[in-house]
Amino acid sequence: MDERQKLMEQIMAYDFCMIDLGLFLDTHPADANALNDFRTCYMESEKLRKQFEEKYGPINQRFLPNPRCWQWIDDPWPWAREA
Amino acid sequence: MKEKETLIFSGNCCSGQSISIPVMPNNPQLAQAYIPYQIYNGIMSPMEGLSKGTVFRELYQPYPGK
Repeated sequence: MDERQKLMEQIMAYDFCMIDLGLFLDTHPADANALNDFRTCYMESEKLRKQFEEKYGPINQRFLPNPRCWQWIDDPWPWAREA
Repeated sequence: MKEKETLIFSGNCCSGQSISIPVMPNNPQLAQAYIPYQIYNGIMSPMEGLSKGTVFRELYQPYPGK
C-alpha cells in the first residue's frame, strides 16, 4: 500500500472512531475517558487531514482554492486506490 | 461490569443536574425488557475498530462461521 493510501486509511479509522464514540457520548455525555479519547481522535484526524491535503490535495470541496485553478479536479481522486 | 452506576444529566443538557443511575434497574419488573447501560472500558485502536465495525471490544460479536 502506498503512502497516500496508508494516510487515507488512517484518516478513515480516526473518523470512524469519532462516529462510534459520538454514539456512546450521546447517552454518556459526561464520561471523561470517552471525551478524552474523542478529543484525541479529533486532533489526530485534523493533523492527518492537514498532512494529506498538503501532500496530495483536497479531500473534499471544502478547501481554499488556488486563485488560478480549482485543484479539486487534480488526479487522483481522494478515494481512488491507484495513484 | 466493574461499576454499577453511571452518570447522566437531567434535561438532556450538559448544564443540567448530574444524576447517577444504575446500569440495570434495581427492581426489574416481569414482562419488561431492559438493556444494560454501557460502561466505558476504553476502545481498541481506530484501525482495528474500522475493520471490525466497532471500536468497543465488548460490542464486537461476530456471527460464528459455518
